[in-house]
Amino acid sequence: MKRFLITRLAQLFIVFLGVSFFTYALTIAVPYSAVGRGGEGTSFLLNYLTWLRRIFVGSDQVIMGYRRSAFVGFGQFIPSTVKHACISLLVVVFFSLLLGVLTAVKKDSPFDYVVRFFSFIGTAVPNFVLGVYLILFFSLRLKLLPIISGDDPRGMVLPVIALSTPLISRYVRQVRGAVLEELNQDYVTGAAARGIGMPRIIRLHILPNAMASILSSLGVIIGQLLSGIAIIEMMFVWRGIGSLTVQSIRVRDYTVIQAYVIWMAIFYIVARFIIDVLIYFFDPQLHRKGAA
Amino acid sequence: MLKRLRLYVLIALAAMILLVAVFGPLLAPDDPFRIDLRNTVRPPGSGHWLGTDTLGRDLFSRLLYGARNSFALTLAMVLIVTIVGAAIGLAAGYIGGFADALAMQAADILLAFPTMVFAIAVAGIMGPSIYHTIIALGAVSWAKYARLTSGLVKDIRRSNYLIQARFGGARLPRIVIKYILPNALPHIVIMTTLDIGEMMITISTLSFLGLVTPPPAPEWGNMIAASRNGMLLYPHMLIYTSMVLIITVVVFNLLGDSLRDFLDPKLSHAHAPRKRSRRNTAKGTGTT
Repeated sequence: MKRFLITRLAQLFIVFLGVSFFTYALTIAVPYSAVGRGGEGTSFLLNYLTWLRRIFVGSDQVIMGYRRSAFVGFGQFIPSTVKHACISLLVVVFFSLLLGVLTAVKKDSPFDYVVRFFSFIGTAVPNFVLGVYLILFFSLRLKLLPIISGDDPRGMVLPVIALSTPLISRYVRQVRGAVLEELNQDYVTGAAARGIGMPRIIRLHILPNAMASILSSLGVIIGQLLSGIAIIEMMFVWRGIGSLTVQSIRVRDYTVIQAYVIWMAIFYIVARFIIDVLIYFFDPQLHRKGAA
Repeated sequence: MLKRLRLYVLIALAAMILLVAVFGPLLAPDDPFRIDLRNTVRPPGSGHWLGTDTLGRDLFSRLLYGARNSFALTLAMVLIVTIVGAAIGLAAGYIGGFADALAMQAADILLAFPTMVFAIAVAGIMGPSIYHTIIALGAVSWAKYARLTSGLVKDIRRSNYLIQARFGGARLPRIVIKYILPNALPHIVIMTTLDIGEMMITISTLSFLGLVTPPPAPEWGNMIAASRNGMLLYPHMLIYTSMVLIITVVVFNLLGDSLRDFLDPKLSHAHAPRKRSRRNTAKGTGTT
């Protein structure tokens, strides 16, 4: 078990190195002064390491008025983004699991068709378009929900809906597929024949078995969630790292952009690791392989 | 029969859309770049089929030219990603062993990586451009196809006809061309078609942020962004552009779906072993 965790950690660390190196390498295209590299002669590797240190530890560079490392100064925008992301993630997981299981169990019912229809439309509408329309109807026309707000929970509603709807649409399909595959198994018929009620079967047999593929899909969904956060933040003027980065693009503040990528990579890696650990716990076959 | 009909209808629709995109310049009634400040934000009518935008440019023409840009980029992207990904998957699956394990682990991690983050970084640092977008998206999206192809290759290699072919002395190129590709191609094509819609959404999201084509060039994403300011006063800009985008994506998604439905029963599932529940091993389920 430990071996598995360590291997996974090592892989993800390599990913982190790869991402950071690539991000740094992008700045080849940019004049020296803006990125603060050494003189003409210094080696690329040395520059990379210096840059890495600077991003994490701090430097004399003044970045957006913060005389700290880009990593830390930028850090005060992170909680906002994390809050937003976590809430959206919870919403996505909750509704996807609920609808996924229900539509699988009630396959081919009117409910199933309705959900599938909406899920199809949901995958075709980009989240920013949905966001624009939500703003148009709920904020501007009906004046029900605010667009911009500080800590007002009502300000969370629209961005979360805009971000999570396309994701729920995709994820419901995956969950439905995974649950259907389990439902077709013989043991389900057997258990039902023995008189065990469906909710119990779902809870104790189907869900644990389907977990592996549900969790794998979750990894992809989280990636898409992290992708979409930047646009939604920008649109709803949420003070998080996404909108900050979009602004920084316009003023060519490279350090912020780089910090954004690094942070996103970190979030992704952490999420990935948690999911992998969960998959490991749910799939006994891996247990056996690991013990061997 | 119904499946076939549905497939044909959708192919026809998709082809129509593509033709409109390709022949856009011929169909456009007006120059999409011509600014006419006396006629800004007119609703549809009087010479402009869908009205004009904030600079007085004909919306319909801009949508047509935008279709060209969007499609060119989307299709180029999807093709590149498919070919590169499939090539990597093919090599990895065939060679097997460590190379394959390595490639698959890399693909596994890249599979879920937030593509937009990367594209934003590349466009932000190196400047907004079509080529930068292609590089950024391509670098992350090949993983899906590599995984698929590698799995397919491994699957096909186990099949009887392939073993016999090798017995008969067939060499590598022949094996690949005659046996592996024809069997792998349907699955790959299905995935590619389904990906068109998603890639279009990704590209329009990026151009919404202004990261793909610089301002005067029409692209649906940045047209939607430009239409936000006047949403209440002149909604026609927003509505027509977003409808066009959504309908296009819907058509291509439907096409991918119906292609999959059509080809799926034909694809043999013979050598996929009947899945046993992971907890339902020989010991059987415990009593509940």
